Amino acid sequence: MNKRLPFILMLSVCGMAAADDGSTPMMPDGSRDMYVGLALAGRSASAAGEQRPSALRLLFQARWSNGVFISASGVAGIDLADTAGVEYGPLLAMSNARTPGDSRRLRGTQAISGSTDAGGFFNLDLGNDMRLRTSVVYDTSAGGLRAEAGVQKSWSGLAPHHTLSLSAGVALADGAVMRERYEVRRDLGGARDYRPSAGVDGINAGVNWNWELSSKWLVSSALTATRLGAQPAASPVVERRTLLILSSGLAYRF
Amino acid sequence: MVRTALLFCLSLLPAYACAQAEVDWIAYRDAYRQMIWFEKYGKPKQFLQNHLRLVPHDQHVPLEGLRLTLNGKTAQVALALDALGRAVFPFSKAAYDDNAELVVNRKAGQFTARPWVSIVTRPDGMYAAADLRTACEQLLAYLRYSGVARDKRCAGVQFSYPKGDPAQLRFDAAGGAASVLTAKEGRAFGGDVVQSFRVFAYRFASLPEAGQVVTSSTPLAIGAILE
Repeated sequence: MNKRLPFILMLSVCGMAAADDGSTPMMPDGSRDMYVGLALAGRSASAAGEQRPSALRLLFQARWSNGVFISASGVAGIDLADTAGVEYGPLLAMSNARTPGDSRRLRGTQAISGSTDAGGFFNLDLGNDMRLRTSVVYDTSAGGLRAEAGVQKSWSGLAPHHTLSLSAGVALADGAVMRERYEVRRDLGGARDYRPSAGVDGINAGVNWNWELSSKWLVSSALTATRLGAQPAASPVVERRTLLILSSGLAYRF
Repeated sequence: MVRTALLFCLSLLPAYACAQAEVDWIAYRDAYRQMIWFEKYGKPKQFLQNHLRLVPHDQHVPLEGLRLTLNGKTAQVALALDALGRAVFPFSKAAYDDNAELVVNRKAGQFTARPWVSIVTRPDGMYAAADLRTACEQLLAYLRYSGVARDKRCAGVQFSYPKGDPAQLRFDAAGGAASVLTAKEGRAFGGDVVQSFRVFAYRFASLPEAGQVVTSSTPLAIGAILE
């Protein structure tokens, strides 16, 4: 879930400072807006036993005039809103697979099958280059709900063709999702029993810097810090409570 | 990784070239996305017009000779700019699909391109007071929808002419009494840096409610006075 933050932020800024991150009505009928590129990404420590991601990542995000959008970070949806400044619609989000054998820390956890989770999103332009984004997704492998909410503020007037954004958000998960990720059982080989319940999965803050080299080339860099909630942090699978993700990449706009 | 570095270096070339050539650009898609807000706006807007405006950051940057060109794959179109740096935005699927650029013949950082809403001028030069009040309210409502001016209210409207223009404005009250509106030097729109326009403020509170504003010639622009 964390790994999809940087690129999503990037495109909401490309959308344009004053406007929004796009949808059906915001482009001519039958048109699309697509970014393809590569990014270097690094993270401070693995979260909940996830493997370190490869250093080179594909950047991809596309949006069509019928409202459909998709990104390489595993999110797809349809924006059904007909007014500028508001976006809402159904959402599909991929979640990562994990098995207890992936790392020593994951002993005693259950395997997570990578799943496609379904839900909805609602984003609102708050004016002054601020926006609110929210989503709720039903995690099909865990059989529970997770939700995210965040705000983002952008500045595009600091230097020509540079946009800086700051964001902050919170991720919530219900008991089933928490247990799938953070529960440890001695009878499955864990060091001790640990059973979390619903609560804050994590809070995050990020800074994103976009540099438009031309109307086609874009350099996007982001630093995101995530601090796990109390219950995930107390789980034996979690080594460090705070996770930093840094990424920088170059994308071409088709 | 090497490939990324190489691509990155290559990609810097156009930006470097642009800096040398003293031209600036705006991605057409980004401009389109901003300009479409007005088209999508569903509330009354018959007294309003929306332009793409090049707003200077510095009053010493001259607008004379300023040119805005739409550069697509196959065509270059010069967009006419008025004395306030406003152009009618060409909504074009071809330009969008080409990922065209709007090119300004000035160094980067001298202008910001943004949507600009103002009140439409009338060819007969006669503006009913009630219409101007409605126009101001429409403009304020639109700005609020765009997320600005949320704590403002309409105090009047302002007619702007070029410096030295001989235009005269008067207010004819419904009862027959006429008052001359006085000109002063000022900004065409609130927040502008250029202050050399000849502007006539028509404040709603200082004149009778019923009547009309009569202008001797068409102004460059009519803006709202929001306080």
